[in-house]
Amino acid sequence: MVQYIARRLLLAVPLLFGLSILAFAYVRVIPGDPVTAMLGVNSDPELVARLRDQLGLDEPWYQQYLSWLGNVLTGDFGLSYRSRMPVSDILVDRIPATLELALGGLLVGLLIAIPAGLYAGFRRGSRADNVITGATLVGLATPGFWLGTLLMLLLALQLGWLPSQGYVPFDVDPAQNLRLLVLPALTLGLAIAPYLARLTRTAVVETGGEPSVAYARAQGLPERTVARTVVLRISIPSLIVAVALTVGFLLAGSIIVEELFNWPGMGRLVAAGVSERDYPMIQALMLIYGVIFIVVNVIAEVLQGLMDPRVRLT
Amino acid sequence: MTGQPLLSVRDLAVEFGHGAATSRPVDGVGFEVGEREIVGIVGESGCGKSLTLLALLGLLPAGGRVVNGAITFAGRDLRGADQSVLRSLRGRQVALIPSDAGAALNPVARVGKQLRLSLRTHHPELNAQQRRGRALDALRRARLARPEQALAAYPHELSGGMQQRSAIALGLQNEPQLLLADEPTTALDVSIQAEILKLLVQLRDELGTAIVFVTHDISTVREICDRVVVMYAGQVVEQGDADEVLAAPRHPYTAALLGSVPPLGGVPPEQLETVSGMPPDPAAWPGGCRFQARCRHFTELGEPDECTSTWPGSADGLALSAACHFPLDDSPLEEVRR
Amino acid sequence: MSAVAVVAATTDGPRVKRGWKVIVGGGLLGFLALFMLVGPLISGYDPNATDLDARFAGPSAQHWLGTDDLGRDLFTRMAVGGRMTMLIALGAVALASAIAIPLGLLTGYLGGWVDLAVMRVVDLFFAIPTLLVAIGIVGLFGPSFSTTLLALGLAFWPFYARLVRSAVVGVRDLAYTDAARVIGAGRWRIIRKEILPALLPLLIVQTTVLLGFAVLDEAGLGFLGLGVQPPDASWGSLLAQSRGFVLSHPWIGVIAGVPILLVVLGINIMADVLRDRLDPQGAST
Repeated sequence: MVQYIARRLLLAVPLLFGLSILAFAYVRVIPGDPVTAMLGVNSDPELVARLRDQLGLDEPWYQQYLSWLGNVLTGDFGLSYRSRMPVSDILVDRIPATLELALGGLLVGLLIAIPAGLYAGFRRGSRADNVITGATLVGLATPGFWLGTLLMLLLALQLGWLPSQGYVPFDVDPAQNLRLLVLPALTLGLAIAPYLARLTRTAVVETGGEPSVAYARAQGLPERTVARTVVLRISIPSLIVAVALTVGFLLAGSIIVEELFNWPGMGRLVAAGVSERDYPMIQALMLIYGVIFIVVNVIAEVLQGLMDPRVRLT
Repeated sequence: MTGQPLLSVRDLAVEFGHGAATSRPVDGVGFEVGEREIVGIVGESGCGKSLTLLALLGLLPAGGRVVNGAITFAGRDLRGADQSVLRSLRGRQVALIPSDAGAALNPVARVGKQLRLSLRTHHPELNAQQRRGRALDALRRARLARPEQALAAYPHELSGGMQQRSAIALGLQNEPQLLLADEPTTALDVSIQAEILKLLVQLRDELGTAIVFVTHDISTVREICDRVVVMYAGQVVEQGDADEVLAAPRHPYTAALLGSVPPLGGVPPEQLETVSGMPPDPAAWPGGCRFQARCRHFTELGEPDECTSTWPGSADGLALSAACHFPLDDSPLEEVRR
Repeated sequence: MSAVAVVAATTDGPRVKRGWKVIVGGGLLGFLALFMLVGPLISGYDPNATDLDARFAGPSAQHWLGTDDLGRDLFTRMAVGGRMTMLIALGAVALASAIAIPLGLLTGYLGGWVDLAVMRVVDLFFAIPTLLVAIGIVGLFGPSFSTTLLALGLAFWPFYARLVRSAVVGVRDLAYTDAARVIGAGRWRIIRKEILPALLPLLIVQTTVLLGFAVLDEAGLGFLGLGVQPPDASWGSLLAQSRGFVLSHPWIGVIAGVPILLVVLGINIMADVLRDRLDPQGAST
């Protein structure tokens, strides 16, 4: 098992390396002179000189890369062009809000999707399956931000049950923090639920066709036992990995939901960073979103290994 | 066979689909299994032998249904029985031994857990200690070397032969009256095949369990079966005492199957008499004898009318002879050749 | 086949009739195509013509879906915006296919280091959310019609390429490709004559699925203000515009999402239908 975990971790290294190359190269492929592109033509010469130095533009690229990577590993992402503050200081403020939203959204999504997907999968072809599959089809076609707008209009403005937008840190006012979290998390959860429900249903249906399931029935085991000890036990490990792969959707969704509900997470920096060409910021965001994805997936694979002895061999 | 047979199947028919898409892959199958008897069911894949087994267990795949016939087991009617009755029977009185235990055993549960789960279902009165003892006992009976280790192992950690023995232990630990062995040796090496066959005979001798042994390999029938049922295209084409049928097959299909088996230990003959062509499609069985398209005698006899017009078998599928208009020992072939 | 395998391999009888799917999916797409193509002609408005006397008008006989903050006719803008969105989506899918199909064929067929290298790049793209990749590309070239198309195309190709690759691996060693190799057919001939036709059903289904995603992501980029820029209308830019007055005039934000929902639903239903018809193995999943 230790060996398996070590191998999973090692496999993530080239991915992280590739990610860093991509983020590094991103700023270098800006058309024209990067410094002029970043600061504009008529900018302070002192600033231009400092930036050229900071980027090490006169050194060979691999040296630039190595010194940049060294900085990144020590938490130094450079200065934001917009606010002139260290990018890492800005991010540290923003990351908790994004994680809170992402976890809340994932929780809502799983709470809706897992029961629905299991129910549909175990009762394939039934009326309930048709209803759930139909709802999934509609859900997959619904733009998340539009759904969020509708929810906001209905739950906050029409019914007045919830605050429509804003954010209070958890340590300042936990109750208000959670009340403000409900709408964004619900929107994000509903946006990813169709994907999760479809994955769950597929996993159950596919496992249901495994010889082990037919054999368990032939042993006279009650349907409940077959479902629990065979179908679920076989599908859950691979389902965990499949869900981890949808974290990409979750993060993309959080960018939009944060924008919609004025949720001060990293996502709001994305749109702002791009419209203001704040390249160190975009670079750092790519890295952090990528690292979150990779870490979540490594964790998922480790969990899969814990639950499915066959996986540990590969 | 004396008295009531343990299992009696008469005129069994299984259908799939509806309307124009209806197919009948099992169509009038009948046979009997007595106490302590090993009965072989032989046929090519797709002849309906596996579906017959599943019908006995009440486990036909979705869309499949028994449309005709009677199944009686230990004096009880199984065809009309509901699922709860069948479930209490499955694994308890009738146990299935799968063809590929490696694929059939639950890959994410230790062998011991799988044995215990079945014991807990069928013998809720046993305590944990007794369950463990009984599971170990069954593994020992299945001649598993180091049964304690096997209890703690996941199926993929065992060799193919050990997996198959574990599945046999799982089948016999509840002391069923009937084992349904579904090609139990196809996934194994030849040397291990022979050991498993020997084990099945030993178990019958020790425990008195009757066995239905399904195979596509007629040579294994020779080694262990008392009686044999030959199936083709959803029907029984010949059945009887295994030694007699194998020594003097009366149906051309049985003869062809036997001809396609190289003599034991000897050099294969220069030309194997194989059954060429494919079996017919269950969605559109041909009229008359279903073997005609592949039957050499049919052509040699000049395509006689009775072969294309009437099914030569008995009504309930139980004929203790060959379902052929021109069975081999009184065939007019000799005259034709002359 | 063994008993256990028989159960595993048997699907539950003939498939239920899928006729309603064709009617609903085709109907939705047909209706929206009509709306986009003919809508502006029958409404009689210029999509960019402002009318400050008719700002924020609700639905009426003059303006069927009302007007926006500058008094522009929403019905017309949505129809014209739909053309723009569909153009971007189709272009992005075409671009992604143009990259992914040859690359997937090549890596899947050749294997070896080419395969290894390309698939590691694909892995990398999987690690960054698609929308973020697209946003990054918009960051390089600035938001516009062509950037949106380019960004979505470049964000989508890795998913598509991986799919094509694994499908190629699936058919590469099948009997008929082997046979072709034995009779001495060249690599390109085998790819063109044997593998590509076998993949066609999958390709048709996947391009359809991708089209739905492209429409949604165009709207997502637009919503963030990184898509088509005003005054040009696309479904994404209409949504972005509506955000400014969602509290005072919610109607615009509500109505702007409807065609997106309908068109993506229509596309997804048709993808299902195509999958049922062309690629029965993949149908159950």
